[in-house]
Amino acid sequence: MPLKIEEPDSNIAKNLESDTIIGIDLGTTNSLIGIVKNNKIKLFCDDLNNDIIPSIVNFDENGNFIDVGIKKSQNSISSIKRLIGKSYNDLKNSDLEFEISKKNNLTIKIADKFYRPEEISAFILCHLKDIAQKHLKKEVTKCVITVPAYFDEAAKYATKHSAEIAGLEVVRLVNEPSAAAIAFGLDQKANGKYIVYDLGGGTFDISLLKMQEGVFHILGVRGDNEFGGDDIDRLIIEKFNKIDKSFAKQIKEAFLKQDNITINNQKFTKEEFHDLIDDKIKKTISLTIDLLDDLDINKNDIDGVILVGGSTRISLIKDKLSKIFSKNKIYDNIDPDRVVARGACWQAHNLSGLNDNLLLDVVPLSIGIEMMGGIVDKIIHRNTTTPCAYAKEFTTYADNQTGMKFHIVQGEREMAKDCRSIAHFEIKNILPMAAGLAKILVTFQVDADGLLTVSALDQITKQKKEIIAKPTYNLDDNKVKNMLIDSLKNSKEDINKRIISQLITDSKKDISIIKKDLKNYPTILSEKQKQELVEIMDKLESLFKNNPTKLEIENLVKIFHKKSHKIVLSKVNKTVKMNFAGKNIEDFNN
Amino acid sequence: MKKVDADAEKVLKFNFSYMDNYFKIFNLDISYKIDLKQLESQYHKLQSKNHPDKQNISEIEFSILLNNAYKNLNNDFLRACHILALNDIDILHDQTAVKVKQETLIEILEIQEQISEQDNIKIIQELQNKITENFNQNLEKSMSLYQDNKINESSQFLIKAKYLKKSLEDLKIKKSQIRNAT
Repeated sequence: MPLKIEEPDSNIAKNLESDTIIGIDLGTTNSLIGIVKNNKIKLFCDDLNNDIIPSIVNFDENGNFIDVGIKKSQNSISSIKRLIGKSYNDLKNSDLEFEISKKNNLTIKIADKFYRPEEISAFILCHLKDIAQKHLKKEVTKCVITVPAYFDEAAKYATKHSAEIAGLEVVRLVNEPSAAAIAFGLDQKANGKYIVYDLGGGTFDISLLKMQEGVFHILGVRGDNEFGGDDIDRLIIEKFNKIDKSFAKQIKEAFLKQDNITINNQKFTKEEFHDLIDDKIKKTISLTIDLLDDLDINKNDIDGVILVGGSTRISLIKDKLSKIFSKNKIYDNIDPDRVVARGACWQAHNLSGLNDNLLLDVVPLSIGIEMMGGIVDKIIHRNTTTPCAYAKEFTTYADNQTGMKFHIVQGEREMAKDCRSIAHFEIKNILPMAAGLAKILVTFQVDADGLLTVSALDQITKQKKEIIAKPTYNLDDNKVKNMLIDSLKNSKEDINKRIISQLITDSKKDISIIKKDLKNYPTILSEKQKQELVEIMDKLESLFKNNPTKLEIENLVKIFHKKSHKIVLSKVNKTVKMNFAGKNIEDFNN
Repeated sequence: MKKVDADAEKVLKFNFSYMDNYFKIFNLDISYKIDLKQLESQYHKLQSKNHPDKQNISEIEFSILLNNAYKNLNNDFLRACHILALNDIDILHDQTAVKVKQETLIEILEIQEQISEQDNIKIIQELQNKITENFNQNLEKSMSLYQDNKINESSQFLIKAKYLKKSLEDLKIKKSQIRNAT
C-alpha cells in the first residue's frame, strides 16, 4: 500500500464501512465481482487486468488445486455450474469433459482425488473474494450471488454452500435476469413491462417484469437449465468430427463477424450454422411465448426485450425475437457479459441499505407434496411473489400413528416421479390417538432467496413438532461446515499470508522513502521527532523478521504514518503547490 | 431445505390468513371495482418498508401477507372470490361452499371434452376466445348480483367462472404442448 495522504476524517469513514457486501456473478463460463461506490459500479480486475474472470479451476497431475483463471493444465475443470445441485444419476449419460463418481451423491474425480461440485465452485468464489480483498484492502465476508432464475432448490442451496465453504455469507441469492433488469432499468431509467432473454454458457432464463420508479416487480419466469452456449458448441463438434471445444467456440464466434468460413477445406455458411442451431433457439422462443400466455400478457404490451448473456450475440436470436416483438424493442446494446454482475452490485448496494430500489421476485417452479398414489399436491404455485407461505392441515390415517412422512417435490408435472425431489421430511412424536383425530398444521415458507423452510405445529397440543429433513441432492448443513477442504484451508491461509506480505512490502517501500526524506530534508523535524521516527522504523523492520500478524503490523504502521506525516506534508508542500488530498506521494516523487 | 423453529401463533396466523380482509391492508373499501393503480402504489409503498431486503429483522410474515393480499386483489377473479369469502362463501378453499347446479357441471364437462379432443391450434384459439368471453360474463354477472346483495346467486356464477378458469388453464397447457411439439 503506497503511503497515502488523506484528510483526517476520511480514515474514520473508512473504518465504518467494514461490512461491505460485494456483488458476484458466478457464471458457467466467466465470473465477475464488484461493488457500487459513490453510486457507480466498480468491477474488480484480476492480476491480468481482466474483470471477466474465466470460471476455470486448474488442478495439477495429482489432483491438487493450482489456481482459478485461464486454463493451464490438463486437469482443469470448466462449466462446473452445470453440475451444481445435480446427482450422479442426472449426469451419468451426459457428455462431460471429466470423470464423475457416485461417491457422496456426486463427485468429480481428478487424478486420485474426489471433489464435490460445491468445492470446485468454492475455489472460484475464493478466488473472486481474494480479488475483492486485494482491491478493497480489507476482509470481505458478505456477498450477493446471482443464480439462474430457473435454478431449482437443490442448485440454489448448493450455491449457498459453495459460498460458505469459501468463507462468504450469502446475504441474498438474486436471479440473474432480475439482476440484469435492475442494471438495465437504472441505466436507462426504464418504466414499463420488459422481457429479459438471458442465454448464458449453460443456462437459459426468460423473465418478464414490470419496472416502475425503482420497483422491479418480476411477474414470471421460464427457463431451461440444460441449454446454453455450451450446447451450441457441442452441436458444432458433432457436425465436424474431431474438433475440440475451443475450436468449436472459435467457429461460433467467427459468425459474429463473417458469413462463411472454411473448415478442413469444407465451406460452412452462416445459414448452415443457423440451421444447425434452429431447433434449440426455437425452443427458447416457445418458452417466451408460453410465459406471455401464462401471464395473460399480450406481446404488444411489452415495452422492450433485454438481451443478456454472451450467447445472445448470435444474430439468429435477434432475428427470431424481432419477428414477435418489433425490432426497435430489442435492446442488444447493454454489454451482455457484464449486465448481470452490474445488477448484482446494485442489489448488494441495496441490501446494505444504501438505496431505495425494491426487487420483488418469484418462485420459478411450483412446490408440491407427494400424495397417495404418487400424485403431486401443489402447495406453492410457480410465479408466486416471494416471500410467500402456505399452511395445510394434515391428519393421521392409522390408529395410534405417531409420525408422518412427507416428500417435497418441485416442478409442474402431475406425478411426483416426474418432478424434481427436494427433500423427505418426517414429523415425529404425534400424540397416539384414533385415526383422523390428530391435526398437524404444516407451514411451507419460501424466503426472498427462493428457498423453502418447513415447520409443523400440533393443532391440539399447540406444540411445535420436530422435523427431520433429508435433502435429496444437497449436503446437509453440518457436512458443509466440515467441508473446509484442506487445499482451500491452505488457500485461506494463503490469503492471509499474502495480505501480510503485501503489507510488509508496502511498509518497507514507505520506510525507504522516509529514510531518504530524512536525509534530504533534515530541518523539517526536530531532533526528538527524528529520533522517534527512526525508532519506530527500526521497530517495524525487526517486527517484519518475526512472523508478525496483520494486526501487529497495522498497529505499528499507524504510528509510523502519524510520525512521518509532517515530513511527508512538508515535502509535498515544497515540491508542488496544489491540493494534494487523496494523492499518492509517489505521484509527486516522479 | 431447512427446518425452522416456528412460533406457534405466527404459524396459526397463516392458516387463516385468507380470512383476513385484504382490502383493509391497503386502506381500500370492500368493492369489486377498485383503482388498480392505487392498489399497486400502496403495495409498493408497504413492501418498501417490510420486504426482507429492506429491513434487518428476520420478520417476514407481514411481507408474505402483503404479497398474498396483493395477488388476491390485483386479479379480478381472485378479488371476486375474496369478496365472497368475506361473506363466508369461500369457493377457493372450501369444496362444499357452493352446491353446483347440474347444468353447470354438464356444460363444463362438454367444454373439457372439446379441449381434450382438439389439437388444431387455430380451433383452440377460437375456443379460448369463446371461453374467455364466457368466463368474463359469469364473473361480471356474479359481481353485479353481489352488488344487489344476492350473495347466493352471485356464488353460482362465480363457481361457474372458477370452472371456466380451470378450462382456460388447461387450454394454455394444451397450446404450449402443441407449440413445443412442432
